[in-house]
Amino acid sequence: MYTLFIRTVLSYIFLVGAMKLMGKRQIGQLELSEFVITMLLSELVALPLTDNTIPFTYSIVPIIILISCEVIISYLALKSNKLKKLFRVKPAIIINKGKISISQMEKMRIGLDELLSQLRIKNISDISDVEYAILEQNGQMSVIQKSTARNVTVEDLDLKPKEKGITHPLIVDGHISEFNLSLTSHDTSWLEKQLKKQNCKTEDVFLMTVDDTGKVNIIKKGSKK
Amino acid sequence: MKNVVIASLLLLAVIIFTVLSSLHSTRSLDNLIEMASALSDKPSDATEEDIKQLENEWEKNWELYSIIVNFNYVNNVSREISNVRSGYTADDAGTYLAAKNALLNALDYIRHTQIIALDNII
Repeated sequence: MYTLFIRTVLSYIFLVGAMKLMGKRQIGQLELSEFVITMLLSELVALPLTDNTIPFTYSIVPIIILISCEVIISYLALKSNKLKKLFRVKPAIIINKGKISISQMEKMRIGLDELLSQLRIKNISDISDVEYAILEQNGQMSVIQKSTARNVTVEDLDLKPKEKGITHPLIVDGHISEFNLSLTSHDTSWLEKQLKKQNCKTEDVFLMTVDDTGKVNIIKKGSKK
Repeated sequence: MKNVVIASLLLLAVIIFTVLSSLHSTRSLDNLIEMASALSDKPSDATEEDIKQLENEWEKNWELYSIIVNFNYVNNVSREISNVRSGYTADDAGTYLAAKNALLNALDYIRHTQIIALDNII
């Protein structure tokens, strides 16, 4: 039983480390090779956990080989176009300049129903509004609408709004995030001054944010609801 | 880039481990097979030294086998070596010869199907 316990803990640590080595991607964003490797990994890890007579190396060695090959090949594919062509699936243009490519649909084994369904998911009800539909490497479909059908943008209206950038959470549940503070152009004394203005202490703050324009928003703990 | 370096080092470590463990275990298995084959067929003709040598060689390497070979096969060899010793001590020709042959079979099986499995890859 000890063996099983230790093997399970080691498998968990090893698998998490291996997935970290592969990089941050969600299941839906996995490429074909990454998806296959993820499936294989789960099988390989389960092998020595379900059968005590199988050495742990039977799981560790193939996992290292699979992950290493994937990481190395991904890196080499970034550097070499030939390798990229060899190992990576190319995006397929299903609708090109408003015209449906039937040959690409047949090649990708996508039916018209499926294409229409993908467009509906993207809130497009009329296929004639689509300029480009591209089936990406991860299986998701990117759709670019015709300029007459897409939403009006700020550029269309010829407006020049101020860039808001992103909002940095500086205090979360009474704790100052030094890292987020360092991302802004402010320091601790500025933070204290802002808190003083609002007449509150750090520990009283539920959330304090600042955006790139300098707009500060403070939510006190008492006003959580 | 850091991930690529780590992955390359891990792959290199695995390759070195695979090659070295295979070479070492193959050499050791060949020794064991030679020693087991050299044992006489009758316990009365066998010497304590021969059996001790066999046991020592196994003792030295069984941990390595348990890393690279299914535990069942490792246990089989341990059991048969122990049976050879029992047959020799009790001067029981039947047990001794059966254990010697079973030991040779078990070692041969590991040698050809588990470690040098190049002909079994596909």
